[in-house]
Amino acid sequence: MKNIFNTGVFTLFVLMTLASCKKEGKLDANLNIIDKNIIAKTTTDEWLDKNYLNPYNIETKYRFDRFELTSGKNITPPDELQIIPMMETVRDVWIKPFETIGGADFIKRISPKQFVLAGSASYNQDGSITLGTAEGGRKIVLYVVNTFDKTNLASVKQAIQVIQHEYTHILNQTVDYQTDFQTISRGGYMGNWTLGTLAQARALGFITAYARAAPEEDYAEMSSNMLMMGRVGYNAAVSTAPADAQVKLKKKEQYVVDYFKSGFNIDFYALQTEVQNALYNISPPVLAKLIGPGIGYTRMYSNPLKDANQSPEFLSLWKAAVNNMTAGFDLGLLDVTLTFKSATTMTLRYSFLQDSDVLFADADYTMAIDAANVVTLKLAAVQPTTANYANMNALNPAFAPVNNYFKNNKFKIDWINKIIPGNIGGLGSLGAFYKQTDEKSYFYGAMGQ
Amino acid sequence: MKNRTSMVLWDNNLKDKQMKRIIIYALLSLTVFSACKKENVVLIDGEKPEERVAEALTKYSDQLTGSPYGWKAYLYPNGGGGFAFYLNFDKKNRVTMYADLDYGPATVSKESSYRLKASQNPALVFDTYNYMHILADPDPNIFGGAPGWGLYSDFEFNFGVQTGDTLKLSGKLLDSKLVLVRATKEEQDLYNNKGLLNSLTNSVDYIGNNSTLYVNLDGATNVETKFDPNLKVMTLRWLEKGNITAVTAPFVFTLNGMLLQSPVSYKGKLMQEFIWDAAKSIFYTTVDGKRVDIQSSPVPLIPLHLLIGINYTSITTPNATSYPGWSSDFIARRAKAAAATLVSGYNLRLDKMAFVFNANDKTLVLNADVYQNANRFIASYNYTYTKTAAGVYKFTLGTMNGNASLITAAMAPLVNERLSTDQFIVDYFTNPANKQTLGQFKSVEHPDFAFSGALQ
Repeated sequence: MKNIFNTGVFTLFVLMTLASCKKEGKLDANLNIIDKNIIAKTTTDEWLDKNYLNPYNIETKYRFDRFELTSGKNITPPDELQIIPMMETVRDVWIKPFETIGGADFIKRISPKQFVLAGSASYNQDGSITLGTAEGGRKIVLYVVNTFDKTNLASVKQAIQVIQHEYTHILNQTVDYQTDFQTISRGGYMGNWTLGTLAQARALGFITAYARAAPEEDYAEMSSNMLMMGRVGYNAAVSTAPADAQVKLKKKEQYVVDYFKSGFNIDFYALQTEVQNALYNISPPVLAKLIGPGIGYTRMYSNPLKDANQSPEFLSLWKAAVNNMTAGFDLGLLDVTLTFKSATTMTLRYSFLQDSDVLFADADYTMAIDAANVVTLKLAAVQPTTANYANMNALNPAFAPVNNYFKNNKFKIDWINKIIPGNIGGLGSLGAFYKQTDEKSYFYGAMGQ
Repeated sequence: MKNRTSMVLWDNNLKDKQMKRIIIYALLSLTVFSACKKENVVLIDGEKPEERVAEALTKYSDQLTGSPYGWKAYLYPNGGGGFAFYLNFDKKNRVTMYADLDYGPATVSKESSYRLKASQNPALVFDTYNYMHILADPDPNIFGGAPGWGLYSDFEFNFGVQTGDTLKLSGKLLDSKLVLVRATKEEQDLYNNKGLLNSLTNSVDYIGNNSTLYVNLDGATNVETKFDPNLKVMTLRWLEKGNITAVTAPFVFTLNGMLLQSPVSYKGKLMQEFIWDAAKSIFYTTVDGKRVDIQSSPVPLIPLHLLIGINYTSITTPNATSYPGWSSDFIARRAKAAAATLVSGYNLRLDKMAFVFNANDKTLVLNADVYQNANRFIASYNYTYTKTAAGVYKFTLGTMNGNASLITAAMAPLVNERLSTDQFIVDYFTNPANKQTLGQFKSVEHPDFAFSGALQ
């Protein structure tokens, strides 16, 4: 009996197994017929295929689809005429620098899969507006495409900043960043980051207020801001922070630089320069507007005897000073450094050799730069009385030819890349003081911080 | 035997029980079988849902692209007003349009993409930016409206009722209304030849030059027909036993003039379209099948005291030493007050003065701007008022703010000696220089004290 019973259960089990979940046929609903979204390709679509889809497998979705955007919000679609200018800029300022420095296939290997473009901003309850969002390293939404202006630096920076930020997340998902990065500003992170100001963030060693949101956002903000601000701009921003915060910001900078090198074999500073050069194609940096602590450059250095292209007039004055120093004082004139101590004051320093000791001669100047980028230098009425300033007084007869050149002329401040081709806007880029009355006469030097 | 019998019985019982079990299991397994068995789906009209949706989309697509001369389209945003478009849909998901938003869009064609989409209902989506999106643009710098919303308008629409040549759609996000009407060859030609621009220019100019338009439908009452070309709202209002009755409707500009979203009624007489008569340079409408001309009045029909504090909020005197509608006594008293505030010890320069009415609360606030160098301060005087049926006001001063208190003595010629003590008639004043309608205060006790200002 027990056997029969068991057999019965077993049979039932087999029957159930056979009977349950039997599926008939295949799904025959043809959902393609309700998709009327297959649209004839426009020239814009073809351009996007050629420049994004085919080479990088990145889709650019610009036709309105409410489900790609925050629900319940009123966001208008982009104007078709704005798509190509926007995506050209994305290509030139974001993609190309990575290809130049990281290798031609860099973006092909690691990239977001979709750009979604929106014409307007996304307006938030608190009155703020959202300019860009990203989801999981796959999709980047760019807003305000309709007011994007590819010739306007601020407009370009705003758009590309979003991409650089999100792309850092994507890179972080490919290669983890250093786990101890988050200990640099430990205690400074807060979920409600919008309550903090930029000044508070900087004082804690964060580059932006948003960087306080979380360590990974901090990392993305560091990387994206360093790329978009450029090295000179970044250093200038850091220099305005308190000393302990400067240490933190420099440390984070080093982490990012190391990460790009070890993770992707990318020279971050070279990448930074490439991005800046792409931005300079839109709007070249104006040297006269980049002078002063917290603004940009703080130093200009030259060794005129070694510089290849000092103007004949300045070089002859310099040589006269060299001879004066040798003949009159038995001292060897070495070089000259202008130190910009504020946007309106400058210290001129000569260094010279007495036997084997390097000594200095200093003089303070006031500096007035007008709207046409023309600077007027005047010897400050009150000079300090320390040794270096005393040296200048004592040696003035020897330096007179050069000192008078600076004092008696007005100069137009500009890059010298038209005479000496080279990078502009970077650390060590060459800048010049062109005599206002004769631009063939100039003094140039390496711009530093 | 007994035992045996019982044994057999027991045995039988056991077999019975066993049988029952088997039957139960068999039944159970049948249940399982039948539970998994799929039956043929019963389809409404013998079609699958996706087929029906596809059919509907194809039908709408064929309709939109099948109107040989395009569509007249009237969009009534949820936020109010109305806007006219002329649309041409092609089979490659492209649409071209004119619109009555401004002079440019009325004559410069704009092209964008569109698509038909099945979500819950068949929907028409204008999926790249065109004139329609300007109304919905969340940036208030584009076309005004509220930040984040613009004019609360849509660019995704569900298809609704169709009657004859008319398709009605409603906005998916905000339920704005869109009406599409098949255009004729003649209309298409006109749209392509600045027809909408000409009509828009005519209408806006005429409305601008004739501040008071009205119809008389019963030989007794002049009924004001007020068109606001910015808000795109028409107001029909008239005075009856001292009370104002008003009805409003959104309107659009057409090739012929102006068309209301729905008819407005004056005592059962309906008006919907206002057509430009180029020969006579007037508008006319049709009531009960008969032409009725719209007339123009040089003066407003409804006394100002019935409107101020409701339709108008303030009368503002400019920063001037004289002005149309200012009596010589007011000019002298204002000059005296202005001189006194300057030497009040605070070096205050009297600037414009705004008289702000609130008819519900029966209050008047005088906000006088006084400048200390470039810094603006406001001296506020809060009044309550009573008003006779004939429109004679008596203002009673309540509180003053600190600034007003400081200059009480200086402002006395205007405030204490006049506004706070006299009775006033508040009425229209036509600026003789430019025919602009201003608001004017006139003292009952001192007829030589009168002043005017911008009516807002």
